[in-house]
Amino acid sequence: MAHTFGEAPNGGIQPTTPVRPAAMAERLPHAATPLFFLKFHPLRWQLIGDELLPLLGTFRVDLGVGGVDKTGNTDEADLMDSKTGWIRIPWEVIPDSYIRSWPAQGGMYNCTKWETPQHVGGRVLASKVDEAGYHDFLRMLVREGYVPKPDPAVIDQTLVETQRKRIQNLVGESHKPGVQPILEREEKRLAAMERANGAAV
Amino acid sequence: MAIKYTDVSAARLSEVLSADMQLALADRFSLWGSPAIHYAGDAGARGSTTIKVPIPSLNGVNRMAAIAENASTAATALTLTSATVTIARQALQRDATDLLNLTDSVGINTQAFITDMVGAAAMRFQEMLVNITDGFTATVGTTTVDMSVDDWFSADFTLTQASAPGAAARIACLYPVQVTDLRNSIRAEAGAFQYRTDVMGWLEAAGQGPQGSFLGVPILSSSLVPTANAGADSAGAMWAYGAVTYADGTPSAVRGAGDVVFPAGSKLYVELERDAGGALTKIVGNYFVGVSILQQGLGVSIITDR
Repeated sequence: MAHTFGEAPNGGIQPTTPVRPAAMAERLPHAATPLFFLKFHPLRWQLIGDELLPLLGTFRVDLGVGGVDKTGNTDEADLMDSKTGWIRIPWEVIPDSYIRSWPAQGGMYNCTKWETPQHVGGRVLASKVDEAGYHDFLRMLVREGYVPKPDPAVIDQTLVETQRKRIQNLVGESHKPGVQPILEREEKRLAAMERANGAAV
Repeated sequence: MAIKYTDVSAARLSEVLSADMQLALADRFSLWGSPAIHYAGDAGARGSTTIKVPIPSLNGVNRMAAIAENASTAATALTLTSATVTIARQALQRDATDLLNLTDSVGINTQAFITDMVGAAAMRFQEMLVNITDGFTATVGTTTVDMSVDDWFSADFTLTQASAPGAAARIACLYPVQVTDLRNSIRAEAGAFQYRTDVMGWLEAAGQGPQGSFLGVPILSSSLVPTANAGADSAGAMWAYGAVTYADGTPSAVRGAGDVVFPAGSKLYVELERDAGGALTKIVGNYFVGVSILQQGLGVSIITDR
């Protein structure tokens, strides 16, 4: 068959960008983790800087764990959580959701939006964490009323009481080298806790 | 003239397989079957996937009270709570071709994949367990600060003040970094409080998990311990017997179905299915199990730097 030179190369056939087959998809070396919700409990608070912020728990939608049934139904888990005082925080409390899903080994690696998974040469490393961003999120939860403010009596009987005991222990050990700076640090921490708890009234 | 290796290359191989395999480095420790975890029973042939564990206020919860002579007593109601545990299927499938089996010379074959299911079930149980124990309502530790002896004491105090049973009934499962941070902290301690790694030759006898004991509480290390505070911390835990429960279920074998293997001493079963067209064997391990918190007051989550 005759061929006419001067036309488009390859007879006008255009290349396309290949679509990566599933087996070649780029994935994190992390093991897959289930979807989850963050949850709040009135007993779980922590001192961060000079303020009391909630210490959230994680409710994983993981079949067989904590009452999640064979189909992923969470009714039984919801009931158990609510009976013990947990309050689940919906993904939609912030516009772009607080959960992120990364392609990983055997499924998706689900983590919060403030966590960036890290790996080098196939080895999983601790994630980079935007702590300031996460703390802003915790502040927003309290400010917007998604979680109730801390109850001073509860803080006094949990965080403050535990911190007092920690200091009593350290006082008894303060003759040992290196303990004095720790004692001073923990005393400052107790003072900050008491101030924050007073401010929460 | 010397006859060299290269002269007989047609009678030599570029490499041969070592008779000694080395397992890939991985955390293989599991508390599967540990007496520190309450067992709610087998859901097999009982009508539900959910088992409810009654928690009655009996055996001294309601004390007798003094009453005047000739006065009448009033009835005291019984407080009864409960916890439930729901089982679900956990599974792993391997497809082994006949060519894989016939060329095997070191033991990477169908039989190995069947045996591997026991480890796969044990590690899945461990993952489910530590994904529960991060959720105790009592917590100790400081975010982004290394775990210390003080955190250990705080956990101990929390359980003691909640009237949880003593050290002999307790166990602690920590992220490996938490274990090493705790060890560092213990190095500075002296006197009555000593970290014991010599208990009954434990370190020599056991595998990766047991790390010793401190103040009588066994310390176990697990890389599956989850994160807290958006990945900044690890959420290990210390708990006493009765804090966590699990249930499982054992199906009966179906007559006429493929070959089924029930590994001795375990609740999982492994089913073999032939694919003659593909000249391969499907090996499917199944384990029906569920894990739940039983009594919140018996556990404390230890949340410290990852």
